[in-house]
Amino acid sequence: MSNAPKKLDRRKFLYAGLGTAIVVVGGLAAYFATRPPERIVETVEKPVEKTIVQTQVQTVEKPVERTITQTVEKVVKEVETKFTTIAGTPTTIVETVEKKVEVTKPGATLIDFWVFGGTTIEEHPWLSFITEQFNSAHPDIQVRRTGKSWATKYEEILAAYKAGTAPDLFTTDATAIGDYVEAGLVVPLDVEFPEVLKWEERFVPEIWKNSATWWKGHLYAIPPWVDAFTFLAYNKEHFKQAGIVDSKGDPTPPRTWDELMEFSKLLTKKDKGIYGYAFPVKVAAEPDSDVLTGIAYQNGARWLSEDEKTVVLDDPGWVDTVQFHVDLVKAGVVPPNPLDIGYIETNQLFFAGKLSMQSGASWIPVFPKYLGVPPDYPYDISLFPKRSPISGSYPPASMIMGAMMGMFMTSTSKHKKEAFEFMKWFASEEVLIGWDGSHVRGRIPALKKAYESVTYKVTYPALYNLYHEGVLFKGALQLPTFLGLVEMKEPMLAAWQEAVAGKKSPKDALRDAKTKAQRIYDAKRK
Amino acid sequence: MLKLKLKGSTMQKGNKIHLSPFFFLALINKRLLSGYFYIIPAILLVFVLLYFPLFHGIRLSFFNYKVTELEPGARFVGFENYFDLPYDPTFLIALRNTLLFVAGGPTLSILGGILLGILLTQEFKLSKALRAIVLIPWILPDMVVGLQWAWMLQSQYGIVNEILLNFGLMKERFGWLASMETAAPMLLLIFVWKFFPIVALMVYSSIISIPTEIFEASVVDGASPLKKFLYITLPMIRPSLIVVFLLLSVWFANNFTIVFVTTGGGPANSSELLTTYLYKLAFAFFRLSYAATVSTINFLILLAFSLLYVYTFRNVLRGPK
Repeated sequence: MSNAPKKLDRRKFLYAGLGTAIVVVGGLAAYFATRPPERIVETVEKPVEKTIVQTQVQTVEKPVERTITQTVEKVVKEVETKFTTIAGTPTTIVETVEKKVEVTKPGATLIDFWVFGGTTIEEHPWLSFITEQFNSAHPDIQVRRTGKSWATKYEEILAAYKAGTAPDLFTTDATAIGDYVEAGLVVPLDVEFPEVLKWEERFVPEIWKNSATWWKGHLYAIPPWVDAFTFLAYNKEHFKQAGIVDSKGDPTPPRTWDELMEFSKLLTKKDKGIYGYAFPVKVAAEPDSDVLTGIAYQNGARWLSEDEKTVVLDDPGWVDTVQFHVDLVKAGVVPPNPLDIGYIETNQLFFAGKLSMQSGASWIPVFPKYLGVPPDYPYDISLFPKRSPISGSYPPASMIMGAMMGMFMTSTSKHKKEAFEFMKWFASEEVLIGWDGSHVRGRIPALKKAYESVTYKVTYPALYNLYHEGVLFKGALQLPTFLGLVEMKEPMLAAWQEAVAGKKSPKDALRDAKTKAQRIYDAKRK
Repeated sequence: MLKLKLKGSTMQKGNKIHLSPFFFLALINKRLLSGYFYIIPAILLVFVLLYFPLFHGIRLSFFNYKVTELEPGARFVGFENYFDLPYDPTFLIALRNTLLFVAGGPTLSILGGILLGILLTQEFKLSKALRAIVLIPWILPDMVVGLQWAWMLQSQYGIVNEILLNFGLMKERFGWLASMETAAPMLLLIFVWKFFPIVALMVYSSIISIPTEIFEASVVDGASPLKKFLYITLPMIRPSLIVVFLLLSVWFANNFTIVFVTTGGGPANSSELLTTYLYKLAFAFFRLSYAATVSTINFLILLAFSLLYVYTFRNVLRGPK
């Protein structure tokens, strides 16, 4: 038998090719022939604990509140009806059941709406519900909501824009507004739809102006709420046990750094594995860097000089903030190996009762549900204490905040008018009230009336008091939003880490960080 | 004299080639050349999927391209991005770590792999089960490996600290991945843990393919186990080890997921590799051209390493004459 390779039969080869081509063409023809008309697929998830909301809302008495109450009650009722339909029973606990509702409406204008981030337990069910409400009320416009990853928000939206597949609307972290505007991705809402400016009166003025939704004098995004930095969560039970209470026996959170140090020492019980305080310093990207930046801003620090030409990471406001945290580590009131602690670990330790205080963002109340902590866990959040006196060169901020779910409209949208209809609904009081804690917790609501609701008062007693004392938003600034910031956070946090690890003094570490950040900033401004 | 008879033309060595309009058609009819014709799709695929991105990436490194400037008009900057590299401390840390991983990782993996491979050749109770189990680290996805080690090495609740404390080997908890001194070495060990089973398997398969007569003859000659290993086993498995060393170098240099999941390059950039750094540059900082520059450096390191390696061991790789 010959070992020579068998000669390829040309005829067989051609027949095989022809056969393959026929199969492919036949397959494609079958696919297109059986392809259903374009459908809108909406995912609806079960919501959470609506009964609490209803009870709280019914106790509102003021005349001005009654209007909101009625609105909220209506929404709540609809939520319950909706989920009764889907799940069979009204829900009071979180369940992971999802149901796809397919709505086919030929001829309707399809609006693509991408949602970057958002909590899966509360926020997405709420968004799903409001989207469905809109679709029911607008047969000619159908909004298709798609959840997107927070981790890849920048690259995904920019890549989609470049590929011509950007949605009509998207919600995301508004602090990247500069990049979006410079890229031509988003439209100025006040130019395209001047009526948006009339919406201002329903928003908290500081949030309307200072939540990173404006760029060079134009409004580009609508903020339903903001995340703010920096807050202090404290365990009320630990405080009572340590006798840190006022005359009424209520726990009193620290108001100054000295008090924070003192209370931390009182609260630390190493034999029980309990530490007084912890701060997140592990993750270079947000949120850890924003938590630390917030403390520095509250101490009168800034990223940039007033003329916005020089990085001022070596300002005493920064140096003292880092030094204070180094002192806390040295005092032994912080769990060992602080560089192993990020925002997830601080929350895990705090809600496991291993920490008495933690610094974090306004969304600390989101964590208990994720961690399976009982709703009556004895804690509250307050603004992070301030240094006395302030050592930074600039006016201290009460907090820094940004619209992390700012709604943008893309310049590539072919249905701007219809998309704006949905934006109007999104910015209505009926929808915005949902973030007062009745539907979504852990956010700083942008709706002014939300701060009058009993739901808010019950959910965030300390913040409610701060708001009505006029302290919460007094001096609130927007999160820094200049070009190059994301990259500049790396050397800033590295400086914190080096100082906390004892590798460099805070002053030296921040000086080195400033040099690197300045180089990045200069390169971006070229 | 070489003589090809093709329809429509005549080729003779030293003569001019006369092409008719039917030459190329005639050419593909010949069995000699039709083979090349058939592999054109594969070659095209390789070029489109492999070489085009490679050359595009290198080209990008000579421009100042930003993802936020989506319109064409990236500025040509020559070697400016390359000149910036020596002044970038994070790049220098990433370069140092990458070189450490490329040189140290495969060496440790091979040492561990040889020991385990020899163990696998032994017959004992559960030896067959061990051969299957030993591959688990290699099979696990990088994401799982990263997460499991991040949990195990966590200072507050990690099992590694717990075990060391219970055995009295440590007095207090330590953040293995949170210390600037230990983060990169710990990552190297995680990489070795992940990759050495494949070395063990290759060593095992190489050893069992060695004819038993050679070992029997050496026993007759009075060779000790160590001499048998040094003079028989090692030379026989050397070609496999060289190939696996080359593969490991590439895997160690290009691994991204484990670093990203465990340390993210921190603390203070101490465990940054070129791969993680260029990812941040491209997708977090939007500096595509600079990221392409770092990527090109990574490529050149691996290319130089591979060429040097292949050249050094060319005789072994060529096989017996």
